[in-house]
Amino acid sequence: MKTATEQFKIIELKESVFEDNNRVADKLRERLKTEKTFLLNLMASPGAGKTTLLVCTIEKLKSELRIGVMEADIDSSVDARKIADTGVRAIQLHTGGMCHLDAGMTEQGLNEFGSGELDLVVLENVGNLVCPAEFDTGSVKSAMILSVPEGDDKPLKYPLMFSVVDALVISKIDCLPYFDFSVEAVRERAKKLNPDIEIFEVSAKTGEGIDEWVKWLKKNVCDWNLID
Amino acid sequence: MHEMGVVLNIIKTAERLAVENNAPKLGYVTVQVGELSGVVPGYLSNLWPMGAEGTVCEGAELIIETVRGIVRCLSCEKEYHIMDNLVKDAPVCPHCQRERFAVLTGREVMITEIGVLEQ
Repeated sequence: MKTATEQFKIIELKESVFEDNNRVADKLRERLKTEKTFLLNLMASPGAGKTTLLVCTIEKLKSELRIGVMEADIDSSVDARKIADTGVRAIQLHTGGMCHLDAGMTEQGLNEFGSGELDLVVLENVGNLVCPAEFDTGSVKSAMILSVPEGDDKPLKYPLMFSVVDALVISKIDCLPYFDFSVEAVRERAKKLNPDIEIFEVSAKTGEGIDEWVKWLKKNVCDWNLID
Repeated sequence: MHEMGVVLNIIKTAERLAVENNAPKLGYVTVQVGELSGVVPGYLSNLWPMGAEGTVCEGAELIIETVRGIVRCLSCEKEYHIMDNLVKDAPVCPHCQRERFAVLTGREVMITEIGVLEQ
């Protein structure tokens, strides 16, 4: 505690705790713009099907775009190996216990790919719905996956995540008959938090809805990279 | 868990401010933490000494001020406190019972003051 014997010079300011990270993130976006690389930050809870959706997405786009994937995990390389099997470049980022990636770590990952060699880089963030929402990674767009088995109440429980993402992918919709999951309720709750959010309903297993999601992603990549 | 990341970010910012102000040591750091920020103040306090060790913040007090989550109803334009107006976990305007809103305050995690120890 402050005591009467100590003298303080008081400096008043108003600076976001995330200011330093935000600065690095903005610089990273500028660099990505120059290098014509689109970075997607993909977030979801563990088991929502991030890697499976990614593999499916890569298969659709790898003939048209040069793709790289950064797998962020606390400490393993299971996911990176699965991605590498698709033939695109994959690297594993270990966050060393941290539950999210920040812009600095993302930049280090991008450096490993070398500059300007990829059209699309997907950052598969650490699996959780709280922490990654708070840190700008420097990505151009962000998307989250919500799988049917997780429940339709998630927008109520993790409002920040739903309000910061550009796209919401509802995955495993082939499971809808077995769960009390209302797609309408999710749509309504998510739109309330984030009126501009794009919502996709997909199943990586049956392929349903994948094309719409891939189309959205491709359009965003082309817009950012100024490709016709 | 992500509070450690927040603590490290506070310290990083404080370190820069300390250099800018020629301060070898800080006495305290005041942060505002919004109710809707997802940051738990208690965890910040507990992790603070660990993060501060060996930095200009070592021994400094972390003062946390909570900022209430105030939103504006998009239907009637009136403002209300979101936590006091949850119906089945979803916020509802106490004036017009509509559900769409824009967040005015409560998301911030800001450093608002640092106290530099005078030599």
